[in-house]
Parts: sequence; structure tokens; C-alpha cells
Amino acid sequence: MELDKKQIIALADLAKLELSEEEIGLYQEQLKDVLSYVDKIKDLDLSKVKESLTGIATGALPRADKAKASVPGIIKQAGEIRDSYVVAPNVFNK
Amino acid sequence: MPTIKLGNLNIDKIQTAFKARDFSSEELTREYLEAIRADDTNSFISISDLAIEQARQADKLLAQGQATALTGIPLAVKDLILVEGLRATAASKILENYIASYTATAVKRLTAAGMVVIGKTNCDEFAMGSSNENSAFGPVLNPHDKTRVAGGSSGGSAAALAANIAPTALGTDTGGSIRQPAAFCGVAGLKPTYGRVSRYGAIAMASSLDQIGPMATTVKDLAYLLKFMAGYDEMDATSLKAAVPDYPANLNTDIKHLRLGIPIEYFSSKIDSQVKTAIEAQIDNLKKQGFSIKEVSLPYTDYALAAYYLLMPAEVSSNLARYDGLLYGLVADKKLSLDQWYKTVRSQGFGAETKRRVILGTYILSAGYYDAYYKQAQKVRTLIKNDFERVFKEVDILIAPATPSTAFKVGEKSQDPLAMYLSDVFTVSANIAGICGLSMPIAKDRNNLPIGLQLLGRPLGELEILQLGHFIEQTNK
Repeated sequence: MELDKKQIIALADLAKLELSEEEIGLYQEQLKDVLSYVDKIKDLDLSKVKESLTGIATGALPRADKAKASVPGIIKQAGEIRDSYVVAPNVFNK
Repeated sequence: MPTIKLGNLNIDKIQTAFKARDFSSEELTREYLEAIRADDTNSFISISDLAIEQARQADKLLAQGQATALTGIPLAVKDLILVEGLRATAASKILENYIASYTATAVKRLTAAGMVVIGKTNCDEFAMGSSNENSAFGPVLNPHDKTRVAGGSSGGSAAALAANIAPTALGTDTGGSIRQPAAFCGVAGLKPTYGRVSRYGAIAMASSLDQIGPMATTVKDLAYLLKFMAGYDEMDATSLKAAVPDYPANLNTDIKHLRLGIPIEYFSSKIDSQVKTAIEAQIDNLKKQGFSIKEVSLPYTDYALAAYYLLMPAEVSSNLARYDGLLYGLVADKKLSLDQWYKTVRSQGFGAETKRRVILGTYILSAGYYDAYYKQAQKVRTLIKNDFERVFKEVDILIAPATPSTAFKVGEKSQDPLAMYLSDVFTVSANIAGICGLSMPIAKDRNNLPIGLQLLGRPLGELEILQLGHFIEQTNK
């Protein structure tokens, strides 16, 4: 599978990463190698095989959705808190 | 204060010394903390300032006769696992100053049994790596040869045990991250069955593959730790409800009935000749001891690593989306737009391997490639599971090398991700199929580097692989 420079930039943008020119070139080369290795699964005929989400089917269901008291400590490490709200950068660009 | 010789200690020896009043848990803990401060392998990221208080509490329980087998025993915890009040960096710059707000269930159970957390060990960033060179805190050096890697990602835990600066440790294993560094550093490590130990409080890398597991200098110590860590936890939806056996109490039973299998695909040309010879010698030994051993085939082994490098990065890119610098972790300039804020925090906070895997995972999950890659890899997972299910009808335990080679040089593979990924070739299948696996040292190569044996067991077959591991350890003495 070929990965061009434009694709690397688009993927980085989706993943919210900013890459230097050098990183773009390096990842392009390295990911090309990795993708050509993983492509070996295309040799298999998987048309009749079912997918498995995990190795062990634990059969567990999510626990009951019970309300619990909030833990104020959980936002204690946010960069800036104002009136028990976390301050975030502007969502819309000016 | 008595000077305690920290080499060759294990849980039984420490408990005997506590009973004989040779030293207290506090004295032992202080010795370890001093040894960690003097360490030159870079095994630890931080030391716990709660350790002395925990040790004093343990001493009280010991004096009152209310101790468990683990009371007062120091424990090193991989910095990917949360301990309330202690830093949990995941060896990443993005979490450099993050303090855990709760304790992982596995750690909680061990401290409830009286263990003393002495510090947090170095690892590859977010557990992504096979050499411990991907840490924002620098690489861990192998105590057997400091020009070589300790393995990864739980390299700090493995090296700390080998350097005698911790008697027991916790690691996590997503594709071999306990077993491979254990093999490189000459210690024992267990990846439990998926769901055997709660993942609650382990910073997620690839949720369908991650497991917390014990690391120690003896197989018996793995059994002690697992007994207390394992079991159902409602905080982990994939936790198994099966009863937990008393692993250490059942190690010395007659195990000659166990049928052993040699998976032929694990003895291919990819393996170093000295490693192969050592594993084969061990197999011959077991034959002489009277075990029934036969060759078996796991035909899809060759596709396991490819499937792993599709499943894992896809899950990594999803799990790491949470690191946005808003609620915790690295922050940026508030004047930036939200998009620029995210990009600044993540680009400055993540290391090269993390970025590489996030980009790869984003690609695998993107429209047009999801069906071609992720879905197909999940089908390969089914084939690998079927391989093991079939083989475990014929045999009880599989014997294989833990790694294709012994520890490689620092820097040798760091510029070649694919070569690095290939060092996981014998360990990833267990994670994909969810089965349990144990790695233990059995010999050394010509450079005096440890060689690791791997025992793979069926789902919830921990007792059997611990029994065989213990038997090998005793007979090889």
C-alpha cells in the first residue's frame, strides 16, 4: 500500500498532530514498510471467517448505570478552573 | 539499622526474615529506596513517598500476627498503572506531572494484602515499544549488560528485579510487554488470561489486548502475587467471574500428567541458534523427567504479528484521543484556537513511536481501509483463537522461546520500527487469543545474557503453567 505525503498530512490532521517536514518524510517511509508487512493478511481467504472482538469472550455486560456523587478532585489537575468549570480555548476561531 | 543483602531475596525468604526479626518491613523498604536512588539502570521514574508509612503499617500487622504472605513485601509498579496520590506518567511528556486520582484494582488488592509500593517503574511511552527506548524519561539499561536494552515495554520492572532494587513488580502485557523484558533481564513474568486481572486503573493502550500481570525473580512469587490480584472486578466490564485458585499452595503437586506441546512454527529460522539450542535442551530435560511431549502446529502463527500491528494501532489511536490537555496533562497557550491547542499539546506531548502508531491507527480505521484492515485483522484473530483451541484439546501447555534473540544493543533497532516489531513475534499470539503465558529464565548465551522460555496455557490455565514453571525452576537449580 502506498502512502503519499499528502495522506500523512491528512492523517496527522485527523489525529490532531502537527508534524515537521522531516517527520512527514520519516513516517511515510516507515509506515510504508509496516503496511507492506501487514498486507500479508491479504493472502488469506477470510470470506467465511467471523470476526472476534477479543480473544476471550468474557460475556460481560456493562455494569448497571447507577448515578454516583461527582468527584470534584477529578478536574483538580485541569490547567485553569473558573467557578468549578474547566476553561478551554475558544471553540470558534475569531 | 542492619544492612540487608538485597540479592536473591524472594517472598518466602523475606517473610522468614520478618518472623526471625532479622529486619522489619520498614528497614527493608528503606534499603530498597536507597538502592533505587543509587540505581544506574534508569529503572524507576519516581519513588513513592507513601512507602515508609505503608511499611510501618505492615510491620504492625506482622507484629499482631495478622499478616498475609505479602504483608510488608515491597512492590514496584509500572508507571502505566495508577496509584492514588502518586505520579502516573505512562513514561510520556504529556502526563509528566499527572497525579493519579484513584488506585488500580490490582494494586489495591495487593496493598490490601499488605504490600508496600516503593515506586513507579520506567516503561515505553504508553507501553508502546519492545526496548524501553521510547520513554520520555530515557531508556532503561539491561543490568546484565548496560550497553543493551532491558526490553519493553515493562523494561523498568524487569530491570529493577534483575538489579535487585525491587523484589516484586507489576507490568502490563499487550503484545509481550511483560514476557519479553522478563526474558531479556532474566526474571519471571506472567501475562494472565484476558479478564483474569482487572484492567481498571491501567492506562489503556489497546483495550482488547492489555493485561496487568506480575513480575518477580521466581515463579512461586508470581503465584503469590496473582492469587491476590486476580478475580472479578465490576469496574472492568471484561473481567472474568471464574474463581481464583490458591496458586502458591498448589505448586508442588504431581504434574507429570500434563501433556506438553512444541509448536513447530515457533522454532523457525527467525530464531537465534543459541536460543533455539537452550529451549530444545530444556525440552529434552522435560522428556527425561517423564513428561509426554509432542509436536503440534499453529498454522496461522505467521499472520499473528501482522494482525497485531493492525488491531493494536487502531485501538491505540482511539484510546489516545483522550489526551487533549484540557482536564489533565500538558497544557498550551490559551490564546490558541481549540484545534491549534489540541495539535500543540499532542505534538509536544507525544514521542515519535506514539505519533507513528496513532497515525497508523488513524489510517487503519479511516473510511475505505477499515474493512480492508481492521475487520480482516479481527477475522485473523478468530483463526488464531481456533488454532489454540484445537491444540489445547491435544496438549495442556505449549513450550516455546519467549523471544527470537537475547537482549539487543541500545540503538540497534530504534530507527527501524519493523525490525523492532519483529521482536514480539513469539508473544503477540497469546494476547490476540487472550490466553495466558509465562516467561522464565532457563540459560544464558555466550555473552552471558539470559535466555527466556515461554509456557503458554489455555484460558484460565495459569495454575498449570505456574506449576510447570515452578517444576522447571526447581529441577534446573
